[in-house]
Amino acid sequence: MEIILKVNQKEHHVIVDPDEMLLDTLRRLGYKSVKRGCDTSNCGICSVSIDHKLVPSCSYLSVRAQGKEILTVEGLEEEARLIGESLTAEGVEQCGYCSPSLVVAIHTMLEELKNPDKDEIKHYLAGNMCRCSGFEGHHRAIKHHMEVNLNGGQ
Amino acid sequence: MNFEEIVMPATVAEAYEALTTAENPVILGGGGFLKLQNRRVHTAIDLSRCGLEEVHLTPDCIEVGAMVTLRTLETHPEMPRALRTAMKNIVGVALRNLVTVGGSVSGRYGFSDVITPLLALDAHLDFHKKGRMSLEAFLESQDRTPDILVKIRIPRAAHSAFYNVQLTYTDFSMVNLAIARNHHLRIAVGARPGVARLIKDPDLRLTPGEILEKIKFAKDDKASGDYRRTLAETLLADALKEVSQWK
Repeated sequence: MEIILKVNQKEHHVIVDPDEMLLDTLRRLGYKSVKRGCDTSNCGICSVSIDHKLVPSCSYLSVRAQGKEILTVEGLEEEARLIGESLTAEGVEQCGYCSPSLVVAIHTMLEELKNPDKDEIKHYLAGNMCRCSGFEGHHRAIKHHMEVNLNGGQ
Repeated sequence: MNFEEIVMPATVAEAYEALTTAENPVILGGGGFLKLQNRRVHTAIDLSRCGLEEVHLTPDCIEVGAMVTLRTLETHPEMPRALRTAMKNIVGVALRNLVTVGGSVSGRYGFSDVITPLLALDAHLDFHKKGRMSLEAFLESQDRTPDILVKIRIPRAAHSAFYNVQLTYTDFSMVNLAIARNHHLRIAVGARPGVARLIKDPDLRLTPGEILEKIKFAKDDKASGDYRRTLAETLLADALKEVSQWK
């Protein structure tokens, strides 16, 4: 069946199977930042933003995404660069496999929670697994990003 | 799960029509757990366009559409405390933005952290054809006639709490327990690993072990039945301490 997906403000006419998951469609369309992890909605590696909500694309039907705003890390551009620099500065960026979904998760978190504290950050990102780090670096990086990039160095 | 075709009705009536006429159909809520099942069906009926994503507040209850997500239950300020607490550790935010309350209840999943608080809170279910029934009656019913869960009515409990034990932060519960008091005290115990069971108006002079005596616990790959019982007794002791402080 043919559907229209709006990804990072760009419309794609694409033919999908009825039971095709968004992860597979996005990768087929060239959004290779969207990675397959556990494929059971548990690890968060495949997360994208749909209508400003973080969802696991491995379990989200492509046909359901029609008419919605899909955001991947490719659509974040400058914000992704700034978050990426904070992550790198804190040594979080190691294998890099979880980084695209983590950046999208940080983006949706900061849309939803205006000034989250450490506990709120930990809770929001609990479903985003990173097998390289111990997550402390993530918290430092997000704090740095919020203080330097969002609050003008405050 | 795989399927050959998907229908996306605009109303519950159309969805019910598809349910009763389509070949080998399945209803899709969030689809998070169905996706994991090794099953092939012909027709998936997607409820995401049926307008079941609303929360309505009335003076005595909260009406939750079947397609409301677990994340909404977690963050909605009017939801009872037991329900909000239970949602917090279900995997991650992304999954909770996908999984729906209707899908969680309809599946009668034993591991569910959603059913247990709803059972303690005396939630009632509104089905398209069968009408209204208590969650307690639904869980005990052997009737599997196809129907569509439309909404869940949650009475506004004066007090409620949820407790559970997980091996890791986002794992399924080894056992969970919810307690609520409106006019009566109700205790629900779930992840036994069977579906949650209810204890109404327990005699609070009894010990937690005596209160839980008739609840069955069993073994699976997470824990033995005896271990679950010990955990549940400990959770209930904590819960009863909290109840003693409710005014």
